[in-house]
Amino acid sequence: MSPHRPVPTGLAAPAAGMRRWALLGMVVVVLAGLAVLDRGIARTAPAPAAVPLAAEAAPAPSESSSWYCAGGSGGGNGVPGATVYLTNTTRTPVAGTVTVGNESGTAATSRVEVPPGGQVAVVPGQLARGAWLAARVDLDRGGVVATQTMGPASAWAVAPCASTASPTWYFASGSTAPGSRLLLALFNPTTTPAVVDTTFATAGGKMSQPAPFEGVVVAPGQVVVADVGTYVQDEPLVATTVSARSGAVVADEVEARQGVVAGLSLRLGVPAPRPSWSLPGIEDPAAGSSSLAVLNPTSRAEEVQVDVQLETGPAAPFDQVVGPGDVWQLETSSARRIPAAQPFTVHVSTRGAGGGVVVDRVVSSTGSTGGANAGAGSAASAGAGAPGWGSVPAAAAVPGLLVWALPGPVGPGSSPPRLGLSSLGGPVSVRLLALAGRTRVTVATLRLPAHGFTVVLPQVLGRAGGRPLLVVGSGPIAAMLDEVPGSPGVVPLVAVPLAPPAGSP
Amino acid sequence: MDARAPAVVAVLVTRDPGPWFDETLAALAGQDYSELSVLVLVSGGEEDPTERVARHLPHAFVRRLPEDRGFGAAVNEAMAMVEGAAFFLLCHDDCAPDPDAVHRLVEESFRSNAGVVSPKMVRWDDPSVLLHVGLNADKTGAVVGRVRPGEVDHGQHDAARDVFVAPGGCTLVRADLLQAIGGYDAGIRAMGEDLDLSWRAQLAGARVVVAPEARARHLQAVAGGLRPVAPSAGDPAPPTLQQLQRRNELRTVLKCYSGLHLVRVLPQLAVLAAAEVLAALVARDRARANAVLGAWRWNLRRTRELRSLRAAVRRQRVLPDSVVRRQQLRGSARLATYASRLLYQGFDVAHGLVPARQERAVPGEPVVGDGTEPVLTGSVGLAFSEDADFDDLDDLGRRSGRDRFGRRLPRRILASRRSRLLAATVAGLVVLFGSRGLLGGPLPVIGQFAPLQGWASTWHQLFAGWQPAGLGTTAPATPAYGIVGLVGTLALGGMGLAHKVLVLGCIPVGAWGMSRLMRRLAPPRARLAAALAYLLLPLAYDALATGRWDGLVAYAVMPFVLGSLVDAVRAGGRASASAAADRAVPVERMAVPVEGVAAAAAEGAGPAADGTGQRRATLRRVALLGLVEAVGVAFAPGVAVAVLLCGLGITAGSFARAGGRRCLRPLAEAVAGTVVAAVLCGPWVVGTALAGSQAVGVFGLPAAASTTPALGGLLRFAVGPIGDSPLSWLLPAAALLPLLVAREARLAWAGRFTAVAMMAWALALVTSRGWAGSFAPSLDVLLAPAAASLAACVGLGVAAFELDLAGFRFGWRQGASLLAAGSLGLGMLPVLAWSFDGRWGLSSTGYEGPLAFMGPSPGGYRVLWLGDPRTLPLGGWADGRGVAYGTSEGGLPTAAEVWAPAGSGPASRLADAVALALRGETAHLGRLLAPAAVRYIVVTSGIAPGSTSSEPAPPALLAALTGQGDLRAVPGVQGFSVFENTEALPERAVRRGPPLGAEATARSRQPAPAGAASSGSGGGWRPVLAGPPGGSVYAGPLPGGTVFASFAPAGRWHLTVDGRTQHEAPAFGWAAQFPRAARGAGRLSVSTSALVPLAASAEVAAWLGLAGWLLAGRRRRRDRGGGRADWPSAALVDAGGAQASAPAAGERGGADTTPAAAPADAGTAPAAASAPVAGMPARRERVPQAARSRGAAQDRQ
Repeated sequence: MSPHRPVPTGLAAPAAGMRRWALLGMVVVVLAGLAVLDRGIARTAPAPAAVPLAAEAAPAPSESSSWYCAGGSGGGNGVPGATVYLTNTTRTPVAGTVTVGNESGTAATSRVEVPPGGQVAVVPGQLARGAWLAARVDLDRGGVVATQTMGPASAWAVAPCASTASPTWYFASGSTAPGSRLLLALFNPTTTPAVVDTTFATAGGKMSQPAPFEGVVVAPGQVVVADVGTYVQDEPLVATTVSARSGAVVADEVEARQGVVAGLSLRLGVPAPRPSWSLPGIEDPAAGSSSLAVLNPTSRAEEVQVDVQLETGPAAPFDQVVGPGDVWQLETSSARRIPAAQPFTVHVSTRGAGGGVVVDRVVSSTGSTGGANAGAGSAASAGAGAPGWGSVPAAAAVPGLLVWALPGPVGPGSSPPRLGLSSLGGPVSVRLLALAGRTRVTVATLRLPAHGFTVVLPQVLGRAGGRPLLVVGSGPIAAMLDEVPGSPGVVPLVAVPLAPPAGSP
Repeated sequence: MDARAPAVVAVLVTRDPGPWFDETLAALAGQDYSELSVLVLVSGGEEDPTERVARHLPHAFVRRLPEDRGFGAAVNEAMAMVEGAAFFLLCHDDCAPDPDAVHRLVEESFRSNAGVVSPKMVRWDDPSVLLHVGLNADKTGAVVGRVRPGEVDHGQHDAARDVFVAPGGCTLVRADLLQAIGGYDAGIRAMGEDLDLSWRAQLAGARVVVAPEARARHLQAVAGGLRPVAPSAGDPAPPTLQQLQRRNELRTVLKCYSGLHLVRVLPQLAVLAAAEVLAALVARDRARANAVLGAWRWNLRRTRELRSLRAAVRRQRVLPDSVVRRQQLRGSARLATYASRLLYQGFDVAHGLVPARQERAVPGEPVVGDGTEPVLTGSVGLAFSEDADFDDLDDLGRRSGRDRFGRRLPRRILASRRSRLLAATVAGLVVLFGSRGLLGGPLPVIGQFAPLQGWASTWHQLFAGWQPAGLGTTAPATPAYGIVGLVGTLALGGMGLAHKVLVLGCIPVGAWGMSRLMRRLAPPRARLAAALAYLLLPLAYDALATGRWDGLVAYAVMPFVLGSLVDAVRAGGRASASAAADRAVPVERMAVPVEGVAAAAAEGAGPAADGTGQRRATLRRVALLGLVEAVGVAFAPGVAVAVLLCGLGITAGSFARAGGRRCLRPLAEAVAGTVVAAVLCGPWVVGTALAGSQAVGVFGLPAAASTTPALGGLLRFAVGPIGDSPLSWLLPAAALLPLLVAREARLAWAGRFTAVAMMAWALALVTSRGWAGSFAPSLDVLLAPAAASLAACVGLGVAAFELDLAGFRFGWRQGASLLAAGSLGLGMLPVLAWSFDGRWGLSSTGYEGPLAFMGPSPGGYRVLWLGDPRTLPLGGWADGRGVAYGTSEGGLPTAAEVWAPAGSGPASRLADAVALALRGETAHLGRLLAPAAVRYIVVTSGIAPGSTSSEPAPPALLAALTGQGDLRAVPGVQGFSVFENTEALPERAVRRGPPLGAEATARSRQPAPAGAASSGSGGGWRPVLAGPPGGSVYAGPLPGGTVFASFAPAGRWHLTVDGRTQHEAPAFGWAAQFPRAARGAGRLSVSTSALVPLAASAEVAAWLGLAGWLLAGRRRRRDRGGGRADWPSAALVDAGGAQASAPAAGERGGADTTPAAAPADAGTAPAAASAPVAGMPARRERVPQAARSRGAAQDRQ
């Protein structure tokens, strides 16, 4: 041993050694506990940003609310003129202004007052001139639903106006095949100029970004309309993605088909992809075709499942992996697992960590056996006979207590519409209320089983006397209106939800 | 063979001798050396001392010189008069050698073959007190003594050894050597002739040795002011001692170095001189500056004479400079002294403005000059007295870490004070280097770094009773405004400088605090390691990078808080030890080292051990803790939580060790300190408490859980960019070492600090995850106790490595120690690497760049800031987890908006309006915000503009704002979003029209009335009443009409027009409105309760009073000789049963520390302070500079 080698002196008594190990043990235990807490109880995930709905009526007691109707034609461009319908679901009158913009910007403003439970029609073409007109409706309260129609000269279409401006909009369907004309309308309702890029995807994952659609400047109050077919030609399925580099816009697509199966479709885009969509109570035409278009606008592949709920029970689901930027078309009318001429509900959902998809439904009826929704148990065949075509975005499957507002039958057709309702969860009781001034008349009371659906026939809806309808569910539901006008075309309309007031369950 | 002893001639130079001369003569007469002759040279003067000489030395020769040309010149005369002498004994007339002194000097000269031999010099009136045992000098000629002033001679220096300078007074010189080197330099009249002679003697190959067996009493008449320096013919006025010393030092240096060495040394000398002049001018020490400059002037005028002198030295030179320089001290004694004094004794002492305590503590010491003149303070290197190398001289007395063969001796790392000082300096330079980018321009407007207001405005903010935060509030302001105002005032209104001092100064203050904390617990090397670890932890730099001023303040104060709590534990330990002593437990039977118990008992036995003393000490400690905490709380209220957490952690650690009620003392004192802090911040605390449930928001606002770091990030302090490195894990790992190898008290303290760190981490985890609800103190603040504890553990690890590891057999602990050492080194790399950034990651561009367009505007406006709380550049209020809001006046925020009051007041309506927009319940948010004069909304998404969006804004918020019809997005702003409110009203507006309607008055949540909203963009409202943003008084011409003032609270604002008060009616429930205001000169002002300025004044008085009381107490204790307890005495006393450990005798760490200094703040007895611990080496105290200088002056008498 070295003379300098220290010799244990006995200072470290056994108790000290035990204390040391106890201390170390405490450190290990505490750190392990903290690690368990840290990992076991996941960090409070950031509240997922509420995916905005394209159209959602502000709660009645709101300070103010706005609607943006982008796809209106001023006439003279081969597309019927547009009319904006404002439906007041509240018991108090709501006043506001309608500001119409054309392709050069804001053109005119008019005051408007919507009576309680009533409806007001505003024709932008009467307020301003222009090949394309867009309207911004500013109201001093909520509870008002705005829809716009095109027609009825050669065709007829209806779609809700947008309640939000967004930097992104998605359309899952569209066609530039011969006989089809696809127009994209961009409206900037904000006070900030927007710079917009547009991308088109076709079946098979082909993407195109035509130069004229890059960096399109949309000034405040301006509407810009472009013919997609000029740049994306002869494509039977064209999905569109609108993305604003700066600012926010509202995007509508107007599609007109000529030929044997003609029709007009006015579609409000979807501002964000969602993981689930519903098409309640639809029915494939006995003669014609029906399909779903599923667009995956995200950068990750999505595993998509399409559940079909028949009146007799669920059918085997369809599964498909949709690549990023790809669009998948599912021909429901040719699927053997879906019986022809039977109503059913489609629920599209995604599995995985993707950002969701966008779903459209396209219906084409040759008219040999009736309307688009003709079929067993349906009275929608009345007045049918003309071939028609239509397209509609699926209803967003939004959980929670929902109140859906449906405008009155504004189409020129003689046949009343049908209403498809489906439960998105457990059993739901649904009341149909017709708005009659400050009062509300119960049209029907229904009960939907869990994940079930029903189709409210025109006879029942007829009790509303053509007045706007409120659909009040005790649980999450989806609602969609099918209207078969006499004019060419199949006119489906997704009901517009009313946001519940703050604090309500 | 001739057996006679060598002949010695004592040359006694005198001039007008005083009464002491007889004693000198008698001492020479009493020498037992037979071959001693005495030659008395009367160098001028009026008195003829021949008779007095004859009375004592009848055989002495007396020779009278016509004029006084100085001691050296007189001795040179004697050389010509004497023949056949073997030695000269060169004596002052105030130096009395012991009877055997000559005998022993001659003996030593032969034994050591020395050319110059000096006796041990003791005080004239008290021979038990040492004056000199030889002197040392550095390369610049600065002379350093080897004993401390007042040091009692108990034989500690009784070994003959080489020294560089044989001090004057009584020096034996071989006659042939004196002849060979030409005697003294006749150009040196006084002060420095001994340095010159000794230096040249060594160049000539002679050794200069001190022979302590020979002793001489020395009066030091010149240095003591008993005899003035005789004026020379060339000097119009007699130079001061300082001037003489400086000019002669320089003369000697210029003369003695060879040309090559002079080229090396002279520039250093010039730089040092310039720095000293600069420092002296800063301290207004003109005498010193003149002395330094005068020395250069004086010598430059004598270049011809110097040339001839250099030629003479060249002829006499035998040894090269390199050999002679090994005898010199390394480095600069003056610089080391200055730095050491600055660090340890403060600015005043370092600059000689106030004598050091030790200097005043030398009773009977002659006073230089008038007693206040800093004549020679700082002129010698006292720091070297603690140089570990001091005792590392070889047999030949050579230093410089080389043996007699010139081989380098092995050295211990950081064993010497100088090496530690060097390491600390390097660390400081690294921090300075890393902060170089922040020293130039203003700090960017990021986080809490909003620019300060003017110093007057800052003071006004404290006393005004109205704050512009939110929409305006009368809540009392935080005392931080007072501190900022004070620093700004001291900076002569330079608020930019004050800002940087207050922000950047936190880092060195924190490191200094850590050093002071560890001073109680560990030897110096460990203290340095702890300070370095604390300095190089990422926490402070991450706080800097993210603009968290609160984190920096917490970083700065936390070591002081822990230090106070350590003292609390020690107090418990002392009480325990005292009780043990009372119970008369034989120390032999206690299972602790005898030394520890002895020390503890010694402390406990002092006067402070009685109840009154302990209570007073406790009171003082609590007051100090409260004051420190109040400073922290003023800037970072979360510090209060951290203090309580520290108290709880240390208490828990003590409980785990020993249990017992006394373990509660730290917690009790932490609580008491918090109460004191609350009292000091009284008005602000009351205002905060009145905020109700919102009060908890002052500690911090809850950030989004997703943006807070995971546990791993918390453990390595990765709350910013710097800690986010895998290497940052190594420092916490190194902190585990004391748990593995420490013993006794060190292990106990490591356990306590570990408990504090664990609790801090746990609380940080809990609050960052949102499990504590809205209680969410800033992470930077919560982690500060953990960082300080971790650094303390690092220091304890080093101490354990130094002291405890030797007690274990070789095994895994040694390996763990090496691993810990490596971890410590590597763990510092992230911070070192970031130092190259120059800004510690702080963005070079804050919001002031991209938001420069938000300039002042007539009528004023507000900016509403929304975003994660960490990203807001101002204080605000929470609007849910991860979202906060705040407002700034007239554009960018200032410090007036950084410390927002706890209650948002009517500003909550802004959050309500934004919530409406988020829920889609309004499309006209701008209209809702218009009454609040919100012109811009800024949504932040990162710490700085353009930074990575680590805290992104809620997408729904941006979407909601984008969709508003009256908000216009401002393009071109990177990293955050700005919206302009197209409906905004001016903050102060007038219109010709009716007042705002009843609905606006009654229902603030309603949209602004159409009139107000539509006219906001030019429909009738016009801006009026000019004034600074955030001011409380606005004035200007009014056209008449309805005046709207967007200030809260309603009823406090008054409008006068031409001196007549206008009728006021509230608007929106909170703002002021003046319908039918007249036309004329308007003045809008706020009136607040007179209680607010009164309370603020009382608050300031309380701060000053408490600080003054503490300072006075500290001064009293210093005067009594008490001092803070340093390691190891502090470490010896432990609440856990007075257990103690002491380093083994001879350990280097122990050799540098005092055994038992009385804790100043504990009020223990001065007697205890000097009580040595058995078996431990005595500490070498730093020797006061002035005293050494006086000693040097004595030599020159």
